[in-house]
Amino acid sequence: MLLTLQLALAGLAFGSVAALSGIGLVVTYRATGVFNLAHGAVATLIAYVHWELVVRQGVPEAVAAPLCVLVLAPVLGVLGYRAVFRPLQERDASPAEALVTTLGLFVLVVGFTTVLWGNGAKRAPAVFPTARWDLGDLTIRSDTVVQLGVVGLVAIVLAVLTGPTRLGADVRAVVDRRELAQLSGVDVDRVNQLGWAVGTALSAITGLLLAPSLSLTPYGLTLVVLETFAIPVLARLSSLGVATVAGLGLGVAQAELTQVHLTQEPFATALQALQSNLLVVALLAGLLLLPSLREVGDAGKARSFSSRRGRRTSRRRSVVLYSIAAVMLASPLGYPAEQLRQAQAVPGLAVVLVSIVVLTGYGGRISLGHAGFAGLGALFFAKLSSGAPELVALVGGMLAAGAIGVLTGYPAIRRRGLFLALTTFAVGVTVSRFVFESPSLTSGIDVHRPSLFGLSLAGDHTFYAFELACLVIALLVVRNLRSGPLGRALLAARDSEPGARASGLDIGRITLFTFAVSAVMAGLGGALLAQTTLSFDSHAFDPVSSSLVWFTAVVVFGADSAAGAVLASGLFVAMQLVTGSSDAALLPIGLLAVLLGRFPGGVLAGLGAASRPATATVTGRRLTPTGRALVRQQ
Amino acid sequence: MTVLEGIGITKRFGGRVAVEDVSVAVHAGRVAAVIGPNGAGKTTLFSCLTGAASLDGGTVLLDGTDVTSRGADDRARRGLGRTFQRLSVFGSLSVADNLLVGAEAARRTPLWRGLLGLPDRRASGDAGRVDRVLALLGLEDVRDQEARTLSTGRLRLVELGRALCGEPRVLLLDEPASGLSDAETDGLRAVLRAVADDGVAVLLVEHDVRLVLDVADHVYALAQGRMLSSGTPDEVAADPAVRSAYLDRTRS
Repeated sequence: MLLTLQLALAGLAFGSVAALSGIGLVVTYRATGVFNLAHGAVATLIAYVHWELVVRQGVPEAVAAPLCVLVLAPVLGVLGYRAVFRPLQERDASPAEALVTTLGLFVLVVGFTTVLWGNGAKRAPAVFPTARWDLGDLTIRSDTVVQLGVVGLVAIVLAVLTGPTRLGADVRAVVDRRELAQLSGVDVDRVNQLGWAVGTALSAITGLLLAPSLSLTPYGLTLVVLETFAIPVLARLSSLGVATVAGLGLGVAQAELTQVHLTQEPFATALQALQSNLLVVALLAGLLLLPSLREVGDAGKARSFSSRRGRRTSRRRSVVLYSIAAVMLASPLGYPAEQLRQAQAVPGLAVVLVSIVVLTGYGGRISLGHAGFAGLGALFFAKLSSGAPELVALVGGMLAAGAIGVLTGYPAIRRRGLFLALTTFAVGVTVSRFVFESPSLTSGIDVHRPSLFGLSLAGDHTFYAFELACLVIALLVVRNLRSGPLGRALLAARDSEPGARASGLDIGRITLFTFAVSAVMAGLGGALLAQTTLSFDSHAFDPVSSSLVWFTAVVVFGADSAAGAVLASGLFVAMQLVTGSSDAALLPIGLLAVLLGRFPGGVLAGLGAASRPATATVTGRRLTPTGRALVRQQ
Repeated sequence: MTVLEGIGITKRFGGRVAVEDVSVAVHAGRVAAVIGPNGAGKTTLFSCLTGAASLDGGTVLLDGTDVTSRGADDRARRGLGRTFQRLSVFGSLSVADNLLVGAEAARRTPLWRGLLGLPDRRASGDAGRVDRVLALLGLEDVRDQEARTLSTGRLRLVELGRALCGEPRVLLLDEPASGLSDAETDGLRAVLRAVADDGVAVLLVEHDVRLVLDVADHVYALAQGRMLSSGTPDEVAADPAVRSAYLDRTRS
């Protein structure tokens, strides 16, 4: 009983932080219609600033924390809104574009944090004094009490603000129908700015409170905050009360789980994984069980960040791009082995990125879990190759990834936009936590390079040639996906689902097919990446530093451009070689993604558009809502 | 011969009855039409017949087969072609490719064949059919144009063409004349007649009463989710209940 109470208190400490993070996400979503995927990255950035102020500059805590939470964070939120999200809104961008922009913001902020403070772990200072009071055998920590107080205060203040006040009515009006609210005199801009300011302030509190209990690293803290997505999902992105209760409840439940012991394998391992990953499981379960996130208004179609227009895309452009890519890819074959080795990551990563093009550019579906598919391909290849020929193992790995791809595809038949993005992200995190980071599955793995009909591909040059052959096969598959009846069917399903169905296309079958092809291809790329480094490294298939960054890079280079995906892969590796940091590519990619609102369809399409004569279009910038609606209808 | 039949169709949204116990039949070579004031349940009935909505009661027979529990794509492959009131063309495809999808989709070719780049042996007749339909609808001048660049009136024809390329046994048209100019409506009338003369069963939901009375062989008049009257155009037009519910109001 005492242990239960003690654990409950410990759980409340984490639960209150999780609740604050969830409340922040819900507030921003409700006030602005944007689900901020950069929430965790912002929390981490502010935690670093706080560390810098307190530890390095010696600013007293009583000044540093309020400065971070009440001044810096809201200012950043409002600036972000004005610079990035307001232009999107004025252009009437789709929810999918807003989603990708928050991803870009995420990449940019993480890149910025890494460049400024490096990847090394820091010890963050505690924000609140950590006195302990002993009540009999029960120890109560003062910071837990203060945190609970903060949660209560925040929940009450927000409930009043969004409740029966003028501001509350405004917020609800804006959320309901932005344009109508604007027409009826609601200051939409003010509501939006407030939403961003409050949301980022809450993410800052989350970062400051979480950092001391973890070691402060750019990705580590970010991922923990991203796991709190479970809370807004359970609250269906609308109820602050549910968010508060869900946050506290999950915190307590996770702590109480440590009391449960199982000895029988594999349940003991599974329980162990569950004990540290309850939020991940709650996120996935919540997303799969909810029939729809109607509150999400998930009209977001990936179509809007894809510029592909039927078969008749400019042939000249793709010839030029493929020529550049071919020269870039073939030239390392002439290098000595030492330099060649540095280029070996390019084809493998390119295959993975092309697989994202298949799903997003051609299938019109978002996937934020592709590193999970790639990692499964790598892991199964490595496991199988100890008992089977490498090529058989390679096919086995691809099929394993494909199987998970099909499983992920089932919920994707009825899910779109944000709902699907979160679902695929949850799948990726779950695979990473329960498979890649499970020592019993991933320890002692030997990765070999395959041999082809007795010809060993272990040499650096022959292996690179093999990788290029795999990439060429992937690109041939992509070509087939965009031509002929299959290409037309995919485009038709992407353009209009009712129309496709009325013509006799089975949307479910096409969705599963696209997921399967994409996941198999990702599995191949993952296996190639593992063969490059001759090891299985779970960090190479991280749900945050890989999945999210890869997806953003693909969209930046044109979601439907396979050549763009190959170039993006080259950029990643080249930036790493030049700067020595694997995160160097984050800054340009994040920046371009944030600017995507200005180059719909990706950078390459944007450059193409800039070189074409301008057609007579009316930008939405200075138009009234009615005017925009008229322009849109044309 | 009856191609499509809806028997006792009932559909509720929450507690509200949108369509109650409505029966319609469409025969090969004939044009039937559903008319009724706004909110009469025309579009709901249409959705129930095409499979876009599930039924709360009743049966839909397509060529004598019970398709009540089958999806829209399944019904399409069995020979049900349709157009939409809210346009649903494939905007990024050319007009000819829109029609090609109509011809190809109904065949349900295994997807992996396309993945491996294998040709579809049954595709030989597609190009010819697309050309014939383009000529019938007068869309030859825009055949290679991206569909999203066309006017509403022509997009309606593209949708109609897409449905025709699937060689439908029954064609359901939701407000085909809305957004069409008078000249285009005249063209549509001729096309509908030609399609029906080809042996296709046609059912249209239409606001343009003159078009309906002109082209339809049989008219169903709905009001408040129920069948008000049914018969030849002259009979329905003469029915006092119909006049008071619909015709007079639109004429005035």
